[in-house]
Amino acid sequence: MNGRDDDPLLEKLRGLPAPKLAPARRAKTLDAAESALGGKRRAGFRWPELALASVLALAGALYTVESFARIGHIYGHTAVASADGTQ
Amino acid sequence: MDRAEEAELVARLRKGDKAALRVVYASFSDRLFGFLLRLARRRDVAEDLHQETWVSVARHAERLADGTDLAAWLFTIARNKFRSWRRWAALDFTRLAFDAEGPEPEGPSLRPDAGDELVALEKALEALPMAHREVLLLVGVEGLESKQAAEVLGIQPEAFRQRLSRARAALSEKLEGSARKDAAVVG
Repeated sequence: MNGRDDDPLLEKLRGLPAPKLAPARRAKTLDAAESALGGKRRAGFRWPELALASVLALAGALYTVESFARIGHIYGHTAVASADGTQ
Repeated sequence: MDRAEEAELVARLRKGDKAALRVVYASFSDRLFGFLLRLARRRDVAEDLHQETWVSVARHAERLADGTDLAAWLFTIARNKFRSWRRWAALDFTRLAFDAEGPEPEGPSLRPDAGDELVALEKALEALPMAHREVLLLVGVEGLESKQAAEVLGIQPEAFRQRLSRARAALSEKLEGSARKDAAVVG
């Protein structure tokens, strides 16, 4: 049983002619739908960006290590020297 | 299309089966186009919305749940596409500046091969407010079941019954008004 429930007015609406799409447009729409089937394509892995990010991360890490090492040279030795009383 | 066939199509669509998409397209393409044309009353808009609807159908097919009612799902997508377009058109101020008259409606009432009674019915339908028109299109023209139509409109069955009743009364009134006008012209 459908929503019309044998209503004559709604039955009359059922008799309205169905508008048709032009065949070319119909085919074009189907092509577009078929191309879109399968969901969104997963993006390919971005190797160049990954390489650049790795290089920058490594450079940053080395710079940090080197900075701590310099700080160690400047303050660490002086402090040790004065404690020993050798200088 | 029975329930078992529909369930099989849903499963195949979910897997991205093009043949299943073609079967669904053959069954529903004209119905969705007619629905959109009678809502938009412009052929160019209806054609674009129809294409957008099917592209959305294809894109979201992999997320279809078991037991999905295909007709309700398809008409819901088509209706949402139309509503988005309508919101956009309402905000399109350039249309007001360059085309103050607006385009002439190109609904199905302009078909030269339609009989007088059908033309009167199409015109009465076109003159109805959107909420009434869409409920009559879904139930009367497309023959959806009450449950399916309520799902498409996103309302409860009781609210749907009331809306259908009001829409039916409004259509009846429009048709009677049009018949009285014709009788006055003849007389």
